Amino acid sequence: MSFLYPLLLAGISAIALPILAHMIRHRTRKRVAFSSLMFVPTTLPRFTSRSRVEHWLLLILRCLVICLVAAAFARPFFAAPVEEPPRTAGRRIVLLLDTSASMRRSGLWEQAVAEARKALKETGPADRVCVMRFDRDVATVVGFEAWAGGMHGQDARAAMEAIEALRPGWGATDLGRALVAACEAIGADDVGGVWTMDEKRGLDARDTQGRDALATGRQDALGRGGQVVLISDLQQGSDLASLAGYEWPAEVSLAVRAVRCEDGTNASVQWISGAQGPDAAGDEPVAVRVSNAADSTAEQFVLRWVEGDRIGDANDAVDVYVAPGYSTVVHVGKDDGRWTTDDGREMNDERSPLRPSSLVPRPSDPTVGPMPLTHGGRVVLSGDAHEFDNTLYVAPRGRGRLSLLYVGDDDPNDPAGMLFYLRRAFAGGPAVRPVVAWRRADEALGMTLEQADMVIAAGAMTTENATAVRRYLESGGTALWVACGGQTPGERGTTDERRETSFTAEDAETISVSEQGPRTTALGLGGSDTQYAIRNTNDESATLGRLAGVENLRLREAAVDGYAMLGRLDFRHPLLAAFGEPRFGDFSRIHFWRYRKVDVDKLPGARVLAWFDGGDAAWMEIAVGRGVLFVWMCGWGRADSDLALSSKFVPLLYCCLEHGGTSVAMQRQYFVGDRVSLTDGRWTRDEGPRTDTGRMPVLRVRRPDGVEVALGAGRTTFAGTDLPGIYVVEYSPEPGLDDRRWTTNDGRQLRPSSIVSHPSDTTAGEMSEDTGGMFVPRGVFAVNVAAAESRTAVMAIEELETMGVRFGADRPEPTAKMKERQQRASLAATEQRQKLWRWLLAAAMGVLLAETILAGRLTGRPQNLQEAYHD
Amino acid sequence: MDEGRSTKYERRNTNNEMIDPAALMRIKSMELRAKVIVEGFWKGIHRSPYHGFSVEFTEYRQYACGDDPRYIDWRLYARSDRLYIKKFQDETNLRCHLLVDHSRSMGFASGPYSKSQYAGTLAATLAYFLYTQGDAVGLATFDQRIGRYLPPRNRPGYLRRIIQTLEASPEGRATDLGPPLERLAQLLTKRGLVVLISDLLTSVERLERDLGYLCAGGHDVVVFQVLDPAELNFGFESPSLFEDVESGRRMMVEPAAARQGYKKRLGRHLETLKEVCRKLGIDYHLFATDRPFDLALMDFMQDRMNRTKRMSRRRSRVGGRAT
Repeated sequence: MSFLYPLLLAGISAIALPILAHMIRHRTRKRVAFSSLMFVPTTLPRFTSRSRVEHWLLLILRCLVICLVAAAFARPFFAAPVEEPPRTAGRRIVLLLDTSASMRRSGLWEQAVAEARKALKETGPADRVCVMRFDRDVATVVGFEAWAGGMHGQDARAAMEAIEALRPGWGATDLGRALVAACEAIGADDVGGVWTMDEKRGLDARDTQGRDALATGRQDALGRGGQVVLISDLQQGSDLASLAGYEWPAEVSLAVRAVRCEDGTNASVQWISGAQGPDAAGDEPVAVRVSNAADSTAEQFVLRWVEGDRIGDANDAVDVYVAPGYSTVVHVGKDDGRWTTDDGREMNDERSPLRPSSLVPRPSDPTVGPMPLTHGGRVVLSGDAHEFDNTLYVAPRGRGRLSLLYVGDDDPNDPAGMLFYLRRAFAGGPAVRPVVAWRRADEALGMTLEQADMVIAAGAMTTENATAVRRYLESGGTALWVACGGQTPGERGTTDERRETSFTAEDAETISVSEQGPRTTALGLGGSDTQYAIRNTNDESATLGRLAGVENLRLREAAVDGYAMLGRLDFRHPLLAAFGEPRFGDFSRIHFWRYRKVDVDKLPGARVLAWFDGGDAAWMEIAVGRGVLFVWMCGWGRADSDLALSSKFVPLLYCCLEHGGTSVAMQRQYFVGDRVSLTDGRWTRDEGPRTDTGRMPVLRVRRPDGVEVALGAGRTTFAGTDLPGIYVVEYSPEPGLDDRRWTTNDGRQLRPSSIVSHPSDTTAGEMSEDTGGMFVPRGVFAVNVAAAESRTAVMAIEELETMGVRFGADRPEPTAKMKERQQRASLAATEQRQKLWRWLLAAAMGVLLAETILAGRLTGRPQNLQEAYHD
Repeated sequence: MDEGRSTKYERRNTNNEMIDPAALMRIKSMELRAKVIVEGFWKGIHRSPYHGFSVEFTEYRQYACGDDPRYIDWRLYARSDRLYIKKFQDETNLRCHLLVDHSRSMGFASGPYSKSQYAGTLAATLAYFLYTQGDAVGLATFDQRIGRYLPPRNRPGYLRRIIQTLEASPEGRATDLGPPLERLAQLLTKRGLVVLISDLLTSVERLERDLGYLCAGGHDVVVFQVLDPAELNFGFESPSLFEDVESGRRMMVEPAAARQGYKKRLGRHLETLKEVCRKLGIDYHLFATDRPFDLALMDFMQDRMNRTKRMSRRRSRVGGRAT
């Protein structure tokens, strides 16, 4: 057993105290009230030493407590010896090369290549080598199988050529993932089935027994051990999370060949996660974080705004002071646009012209161009030794437009109608700008329908409109149809009126919409001639039947005694998943005064999402072609229910919208290596023209280096963000180039209108200079170096040990001071894992308890004078 | 204490024929305790072979000229044809003052009852005894000064008042006999019997002076010194912090080491006290609180008898010289 703080074991010497106390008779705690002390001679209190200890057990317990506590403070642990894998004739060696952005620092890559060359030279003839590079992702440069195919010298040269062809990228460092991948590569390497040409010639193809024996011999000769040679700068920003749940193989050791940068001064400017980008008007604050590495020697830096190729003049520079190891947030004020620190003080009154509005090209500036949203800007930091993380690319924020089409006879200003609440539900926000178009049930829908992200229809429609909506659904659209009971909500008046004209169960059975005709006639309620005609020609049953593709469908008015509630909801469905938590899932406050019933079995593909407490279906989802049709058997007009007044109403509508494939979320800032979901956000929607035929235009992504990536079909994510900078999404207005279906990653079908602005692909996206058409910029997004990559201070190698990584004999030899510190950290980590001190303290507590009980029994205190006298 | 005279009672005590003070003190009523003691005492007296002693004393003297012929015992003259004068002790004029120490040191107890309780019971016993004989009994409690004073009376209900006063717990502070005895000497204009019951844990020099006040007044003084057995033998075992209940002084005492010196000092004090009493003609009795009350009453009676004999002899000598 070893101790982390052995000096604290000196505390064991404190056991002299209880021993001394046991040897000295000093009982001063007894007090006796005596009549008079006039005859009592003055005697000094005597500390009479005793040659014999009366209570051995008590003394032992007390000494034991002190020993245990002292041992606990000394932090004991069992030192685990590092087991070196047995050295065999050959080894599997994975050369793991760091190509993250931090390796772009001056001189690091050259050192890394030299180290790789040195490592390759040290490999033996029987070794098998694999070269892998990693940043955020891991890639194999030279695999084991390629190494085994040729002579050793040739393999080394080929591997070296491959390494020299590598260059550090811009990605973050996921060291844990890389180490896991290297170990797995070692474990997956099988030498049994790999043969050299000489061996192949020596073995008969039919001699399987000899082949197996040779393979076994090769495996035994090579052994199962391996070595990972890590060539990296070991920056603190390396992600080791993948190692947390990984059990490092016992037969694999890690050799670290760290490369060091002479000048550690590195500052970075970073995007604050979750912050909004500058809007087009430039009147909202923008916040960036300036961080300084812990080992920096400089503290004063300069921020400068750059638009395109135009660099701000000297007056645009802003001085920023950041102590090493700290960071500060710099805001651009909304009113005056001045740069301020996070504590609110202005950084430079005279030199703070950097305004958010500068993110938007000024029309008078010819260098910027006429399309403001296709251009971003960047904030450039200077004053440190390394420039790889000194530029922050900023994409302007745009508000996506959301087109909704409401089909119904509501009056928009009628507070009892559904449209009144619908327009307020989609009032818009900072990220999205919904537009609700309104068409009467007998009006032609036309282009409005094609451009709509979602159609909401209330009650009966004309045959033409129902057919158009059906086509819209089949093409991937989303529609919500609400059964109004053959009566448009606006006609039913207020709730009081509804109560006055409530019907009985017999009425409900007899006024089947399909049989009795317009409901208004049955109830004796008035309506315009046009509405009357609509209801005569196309009642709700027929409308729903046409939308769902079912004939002879019957809707009936349900008999409601007072009010109905939702009795059961399917929270597993994506539409209601957002309400799955108990605090959000209370729908019991929503009362439904009346609703309609339908035979769900007659609706093919219908899935009931909610049921009324009477067991009737309330909300349904029907797959129509590639689209989704939601059917609600009760509206949200005041005559039908108080759903519109519920807090569930707005999120429910947005859930319908998103479930149909129209996302209202928006993101414009990404890190290198992020997969950009082009279906997320409608950041090009507002500028996107549509062809008359509704066919899809072609889109492509123009990278910061000018390379244009033609997006593949059927993909919705763009993963080619391997460069920091502003990425421009362009589209070709030529119709007919792409009419293919688009699916999301989870296989969900998207309608073409959703893809217009978010083309995709990436994984298989081939790059080309031009697709042949004329492309027009549609939007931009910014990609930056990950913030963690700027933490360039050297990581303690013990952090890897704490994650369970085993080091080999060629572990890098630290300096004397570092060695002591590392050894101490290693011991501390081992002790932290074992935590034996807790057991010692628990034992001390137990002994203390026993000592207290024993002492209480042995030394009873006199209760009164009589006991003192008769003691 | 005369060892020869107390032999019989001491023997009774060892034979458990006397009432155990601890058992007696369990009786809550002090009056009842005094009654039990006195009545038991009388029964013991009647069974004893000693007869004829009493506080009242009779003497025959040959008639001389000038004697009051009313005191001639004519019956004796008829039998012997000689004139004798029958003399009576003036019993009805006995005025007894019980001086009971109520200082805080009297509250010390190493047993179930304190010195104060013992002294109170003893005083109540004497009061009951004298009261039943028709003597006037008074009471004065004191510490540094006189607390309660009841002049000697012999009237119905007075005994109860005395006992109620004795039942009060000691409230005083230190024992200082000087001021109260000096004051009593001023109050007691008529001669009488003064019984001082105290632990006398005070300076002997001052005590000699203070007792001299009473003796100078012609009073018969009897001193009962009441001490706890723990005060007599200092039988403490464990080292403790001793606190003087009167002065509040604290002292760390190792009993094993201090016991010998304590006993030596206490013995010297008691001897000095005894010598002072003897010099002043005071009957002195030391009582440990575990001593039966019967013996205390017996001692009291014995002293009174001896005193009467001494006085009679003295008078006889004076009368003989006169004739």
